Amino acid sequence: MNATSTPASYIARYMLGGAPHLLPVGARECQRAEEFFARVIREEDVARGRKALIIATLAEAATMLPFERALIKMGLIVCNAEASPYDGARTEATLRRFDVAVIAPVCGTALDAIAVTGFDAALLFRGKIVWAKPDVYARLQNAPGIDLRRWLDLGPVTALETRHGGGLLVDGREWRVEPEGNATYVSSRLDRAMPFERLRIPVAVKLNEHTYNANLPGPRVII
Amino acid sequence: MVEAAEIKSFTLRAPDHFDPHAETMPRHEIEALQTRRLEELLPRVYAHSALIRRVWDAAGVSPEDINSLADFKARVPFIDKDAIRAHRDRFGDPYGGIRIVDDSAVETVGFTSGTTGDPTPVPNGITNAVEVSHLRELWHSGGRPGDYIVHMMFTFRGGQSRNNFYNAAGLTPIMIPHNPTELPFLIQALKTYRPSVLYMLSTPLLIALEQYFEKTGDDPREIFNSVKGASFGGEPLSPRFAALVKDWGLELFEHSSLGDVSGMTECSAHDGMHGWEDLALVECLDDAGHEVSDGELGELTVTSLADPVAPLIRYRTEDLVRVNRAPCVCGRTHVRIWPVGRKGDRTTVQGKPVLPRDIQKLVERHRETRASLFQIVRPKPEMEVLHVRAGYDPEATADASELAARLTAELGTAFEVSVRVELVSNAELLKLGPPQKIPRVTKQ
Repeated sequence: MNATSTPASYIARYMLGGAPHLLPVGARECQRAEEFFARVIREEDVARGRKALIIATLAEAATMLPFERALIKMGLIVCNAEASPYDGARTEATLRRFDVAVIAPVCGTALDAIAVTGFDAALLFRGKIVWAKPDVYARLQNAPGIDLRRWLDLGPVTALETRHGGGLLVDGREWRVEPEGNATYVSSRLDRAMPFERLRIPVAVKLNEHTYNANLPGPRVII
Repeated sequence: MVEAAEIKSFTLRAPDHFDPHAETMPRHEIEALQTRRLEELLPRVYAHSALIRRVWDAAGVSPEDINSLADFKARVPFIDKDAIRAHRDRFGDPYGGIRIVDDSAVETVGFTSGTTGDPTPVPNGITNAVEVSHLRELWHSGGRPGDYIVHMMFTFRGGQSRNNFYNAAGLTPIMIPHNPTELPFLIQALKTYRPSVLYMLSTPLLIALEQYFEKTGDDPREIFNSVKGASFGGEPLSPRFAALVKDWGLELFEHSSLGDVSGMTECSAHDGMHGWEDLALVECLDDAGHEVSDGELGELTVTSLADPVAPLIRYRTEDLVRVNRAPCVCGRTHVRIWPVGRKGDRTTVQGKPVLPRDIQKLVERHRETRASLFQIVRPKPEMEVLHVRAGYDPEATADASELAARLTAELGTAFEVSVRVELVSNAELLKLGPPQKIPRVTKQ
């Protein structure tokens, strides 16, 4: 990590090896992330006025704040539930009461919290686009009727599957991703409040750099 | 009555105000502003809020009937959470009939905490009254442009992008989930960024902080020495935790919700929480709906004056409070409010009233139960035996049956009623509710 002149707009965190690390986020990089997510959501052909449910915590603000803004920008109304063992009832109530089109990013804690309330997430998620973290993807991939997509955090980098498949899209303008053996190295390409230079992520991926059908700035990572 | 010289003396010592004109306006100006805002708001609410129109029509009231604050207080019917839920279930409107704009003006949907049952969805636009009150309170507790602020809250209060107002005020928020497991991350953030304000602490977080400092040997005064003020909310601050936190060098400002309309927070005088009367019309009412005198116990009833999306009109909150509209020594002129408890938490044992906060100060005196985790187990509001489920620390307890006997005797002496104490571990009790709010009264 190098010094930077970009002021932090807010402080969030990223996870590495199971440990949290402080992550200052600047206004311009947040704006760029919003644009990236908006392009992904635009591909989904979701009608304006429908709802999106974000299940996360404030600590994930580096990704979730621009994701939320992108959803709003695309005309969706955003509901939130906490990714905690206590908030399954709110998740269930939101899905029951509102016409939710998109749910993201579902982690194991959120899925367990729904089960504690006596509901089956596989039924609640039917007919919706669900971006799921790897453990949840494995648990839901055989459930019928869910438009299931992968969501992966590579340290400070977010990769998410689009409807075009072919791997999980990374904002290639913002990040350089280099798979090496059983690890992945990520570097920032633009000015950030906290720049990264070959940050080692202990996750093995392959790169798919083929041109997309859609106008989305790759590459895609395959896990 | 506060003397002018006393106000001047205190104001010189205390931090100044974020919005001096609004925070210190004379009462007649507050009331004139409230009247103007109601005149503008009520026709819109009547036209667009399905719940309000239905309730007002049933009472034979229309906006044309309301020409003054006195008219408003005399004629406008009440709503409460049950009315919102009933409207929601009857008409299939998730917002319970309180929304006055269409969905194109709604960006996010927040939720109430769910203290009294099913969380209620609350639609949010671009700005809201909570931001205004929050900035005033942050400023008063020491936050200034250029500062870092710890923002330790829940996303369900309205999402991530609702925190943009921090940047607009020159503040940089450090986003941390309100969860005791996040404590090491909080400490790391405090050491790295030296924030000036900590928003906000709760009983579970104070328990976790106390354990953290005992285990690590870290000096809390060193950790917190950049923090000029910290908010505390979720339930009343117990005397033991108040003393403990003071010893850490933290000045705590107790905070609560002003009936889901806005927030209310103590000032430096620590003599009641200020409710912002330019943002909310505050009434303190008896069971018959008549206003009680300042200082008397009543139910907090609020009307939104600055919510363009889903304003609540004469909303009975079920919060029991005392209020005082006399100017405060801090220089502010807005009503001060002292929460006493929830109306639904009122319990009568052998004809004597018992509130959770009365039990709290007794339970926390004992080393084994110092975390002050407990519940009143109350199948019905009137009981012959006070049944208290108390959380205890097994590692600090030599003999659980002796502890139960000791607590039973102390509570019995204090309340002069029959008592049954049921002990469960602190960890077990924390499973019963979200970490910020353990249900203090439960049916079973």
